[in-house]
Amino acid sequence: MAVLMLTAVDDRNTALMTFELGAYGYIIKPFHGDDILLHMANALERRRLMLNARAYEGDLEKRIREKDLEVHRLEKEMVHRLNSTADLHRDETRAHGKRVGLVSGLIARHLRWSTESVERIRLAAQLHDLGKLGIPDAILPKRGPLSSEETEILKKHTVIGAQILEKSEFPLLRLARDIALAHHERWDGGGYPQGLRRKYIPESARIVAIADTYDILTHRSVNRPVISENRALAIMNAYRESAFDAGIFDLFMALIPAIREIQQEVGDEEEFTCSR
Amino acid sequence: MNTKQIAHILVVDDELKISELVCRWLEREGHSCLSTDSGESAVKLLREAHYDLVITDIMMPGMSGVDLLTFVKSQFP
Repeated sequence: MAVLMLTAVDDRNTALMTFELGAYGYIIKPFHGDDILLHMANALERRRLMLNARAYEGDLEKRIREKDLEVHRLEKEMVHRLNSTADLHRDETRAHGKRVGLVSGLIARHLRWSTESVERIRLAAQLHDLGKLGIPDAILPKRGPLSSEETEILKKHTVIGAQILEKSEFPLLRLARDIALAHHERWDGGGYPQGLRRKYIPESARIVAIADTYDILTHRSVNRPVISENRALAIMNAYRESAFDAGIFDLFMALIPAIREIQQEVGDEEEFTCSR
Repeated sequence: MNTKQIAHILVVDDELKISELVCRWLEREGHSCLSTDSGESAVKLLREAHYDLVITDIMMPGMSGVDLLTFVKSQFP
């Protein structure tokens, strides 16, 4: 609301103070009717312009927020669809991708990643095995151990995934690319495809390596029996310093109760839906 | 600048003669105007209806024009 001040004396200090408090004008008595009308018209016009600007800003902010949400929905849907496509060709399922994404996001949040980055890894991690699209069907859902030649072919899914996601200008896809490429690297350098060591492995991939291993061990697949959570954690603990980033691994262990909830929420309903 | 738009105005002056005079000028121009003689009564009126503009005397017994300005800016920014 616009406010005009009237006073009997020309008191500059008071005038300045009322301007600071938000007055639109200052009229000195005695005044003429025209003074009032002129000041009033000025004040109302200024008020109108200010309200317009405020409404415009509000509208702009709202539209930006809507666009952000739309982009986020698009990202989610795109990741979901890519993940589903890959689903048709590999030995793990869509639910696996989703769980690995959620667990990776949880770990990243406790590593104090920004909210934006946490949301990004939740999505990007789902695409860690995207490169399995490029692996012959005959190798993927195989029962029993793979030959060493087959194993070498399977390892290529990291590089193929990275190729699919290569050179994107979008942070989400760049992150997905790093994860796809490096999620089988090991802390001691014994992983693949590049044999990266320690902090040369992107943190995102170090997180996903742990989330992925845990999910694979605790879920049944065509060539794996189900094992208990305790057994899975004992196996992983044996690799705490060789395969994993021990710091992230300890954090992961501390988060097990929350991770268990994620496992139950996403569930296995989508398990065994892959084509053979 | 469109002076033809009709505004709802509250005029506050402890000398009611002045606020009534101002209101007459404004009404002659087609605006709707209410006059009152204290900051306290102005607050009451402002809570009851919407106004586009408040014209207030600064020096008033009790609630001053500056107090009223502060109230308006905090309640109706």
